[in-house]
Amino acid sequence: MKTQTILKLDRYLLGDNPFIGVDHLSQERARERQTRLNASNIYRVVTAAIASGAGGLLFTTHPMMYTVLRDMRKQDKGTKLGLYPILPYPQALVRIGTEKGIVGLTRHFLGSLSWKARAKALVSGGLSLGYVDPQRALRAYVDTELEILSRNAPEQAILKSVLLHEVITDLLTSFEASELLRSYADHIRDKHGVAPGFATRNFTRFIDFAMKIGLPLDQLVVLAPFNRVGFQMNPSREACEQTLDQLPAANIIAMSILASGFLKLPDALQYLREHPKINSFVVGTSSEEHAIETFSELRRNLGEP
Amino acid sequence: MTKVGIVGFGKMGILHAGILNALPGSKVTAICENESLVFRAAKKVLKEAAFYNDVSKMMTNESLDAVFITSPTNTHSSIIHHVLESDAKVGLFSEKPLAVTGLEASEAANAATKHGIVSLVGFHKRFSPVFAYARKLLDGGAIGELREFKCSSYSADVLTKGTGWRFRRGTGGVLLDLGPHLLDLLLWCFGEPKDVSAVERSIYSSDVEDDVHADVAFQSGLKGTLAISWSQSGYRLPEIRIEVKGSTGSMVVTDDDVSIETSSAVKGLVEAGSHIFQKPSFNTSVDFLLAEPEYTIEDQFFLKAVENHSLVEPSFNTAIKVNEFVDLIHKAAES
Repeated sequence: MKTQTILKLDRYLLGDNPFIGVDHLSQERARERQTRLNASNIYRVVTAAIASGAGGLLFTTHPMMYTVLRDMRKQDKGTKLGLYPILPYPQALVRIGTEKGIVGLTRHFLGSLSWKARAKALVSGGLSLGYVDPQRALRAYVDTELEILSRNAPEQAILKSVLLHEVITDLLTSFEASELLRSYADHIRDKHGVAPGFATRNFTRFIDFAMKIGLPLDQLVVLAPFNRVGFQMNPSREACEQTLDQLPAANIIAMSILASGFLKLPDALQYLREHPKINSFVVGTSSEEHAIETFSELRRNLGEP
Repeated sequence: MTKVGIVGFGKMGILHAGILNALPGSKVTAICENESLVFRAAKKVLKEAAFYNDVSKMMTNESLDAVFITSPTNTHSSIIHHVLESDAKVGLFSEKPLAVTGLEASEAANAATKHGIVSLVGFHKRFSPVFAYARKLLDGGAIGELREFKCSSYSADVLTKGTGWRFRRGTGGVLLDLGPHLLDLLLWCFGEPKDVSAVERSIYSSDVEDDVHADVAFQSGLKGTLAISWSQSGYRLPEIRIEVKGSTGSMVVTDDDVSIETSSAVKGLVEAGSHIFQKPSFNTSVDFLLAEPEYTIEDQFFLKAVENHSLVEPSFNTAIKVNEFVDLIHKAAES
């Protein structure tokens, strides 16, 4: 896996939600899809999407995605494919928290680190049970995830940004944990040499807070929902649009552009055309035909990558 | 500015604190947590809040307008009593269920009533635009007189042997953990239960039940079955599904949508035919979103009630019925 030091987003990204059972419109549909999809047909969807214009893959660190990336690596596919991992995968953490409690979760987390990272974490004190430093813990966690990713990703793929999951971004924004947000951004940029990213479902609030604490928006990636019906746009569609329109310079990836499948692509496109400040679009698809159709249509309507 | 104290900084405590701290009219000013690892980590992230490991001390030192109880279920009742003893004029929010038994719940609710406290229990499904709309349709007679139902609440939370209070007899089990949301929705939509027969099974746990199947007859005459399990693989998120047949149609409601088929129109409510109402067709934007919008709607609803000192539902008194429903199912399973 290579890294890209100069921030330039791919215009179209393939999202992994349909592959890992995430569907904000219907959990029932997600479960049906889960039984149908396995690593080999996901692999076919990913390669079809790339061939049709998806320049990058936006994904959570779900085991399924590592399997797919490993298959691409073996087949020597994924040359120049942009990688945009989102950390952490929160459902797994919530389930472990329910089963083992919050102390058990911390122990599990420590156990999942490589021996090298674990030794380092214990020495630096980031994760020891007696003394807790969230900044160090977050950095140690990010390093471990990226180490696993680099072992699995295609050798010619390019890491372009590492995004903090929306639940963590939004929680830290609410808590006004400016040092933790800043330390994450610095670490991704300085240690891993790529642009730090933040996923959020509270776009207006995140942008306001980022500006207040002096996070350099021109050097960050922000992933947020944008669609005609305002689905998952908070505090309102209008407020998010106003924030977007007034942004000086930023790197925005729009998600939920089809409102989780509630909108058909032709209905969604007009809205996206009206907001030229959106740099990139991510969309999930679960079949090869749909991948080809979707990315071809996006290119036709929103410009070649 | 409504000043909020959070008791118990686990999953639900963090979620509510995240919402409450971001809302324009409220601030989390105190957190009470006695797990030292969590206490130390949280202190470094939430720098403006005062931290305690003793509720009484928190109540003495802080002047709070509302307290959110988000600790393990078996601690709710004693925390409520400690807060009431402090004589502070606060609104009290408790995560669901209110207590571990109907008796404990009614003692806590009676004490809160005596102190004239505004209370709310975290049955957040009532604040989901989808479930709220389904209830409006049922209440308005959209499928006529209710005859039969079938419902489930499934999650994949427990697929190995777990540890902690959720897995101890008397404080845990799927019925007290995942069950209350579905049971509250049934009480809210169908009224009080009359007869129950039930079977409980342990699959991974040794001391508590992992799934429950029950036949329930409501006082209205409505009959049906329920299934609750936290050991269903393939469920990324917990899911509720309620299917109801009525004299003029039928309805299925899930966390994501309401689908209805009805042969007779109800003016101002529904046309005859089949319809589906999906989540994006409701306005689900909220002032600050974490997890699902219903948590924010619930918290804002409670803050407003505290500010106006108005009694609202689902109150502690209403929550007694959920605990009694749990007791009824356990008793039926034992016999």
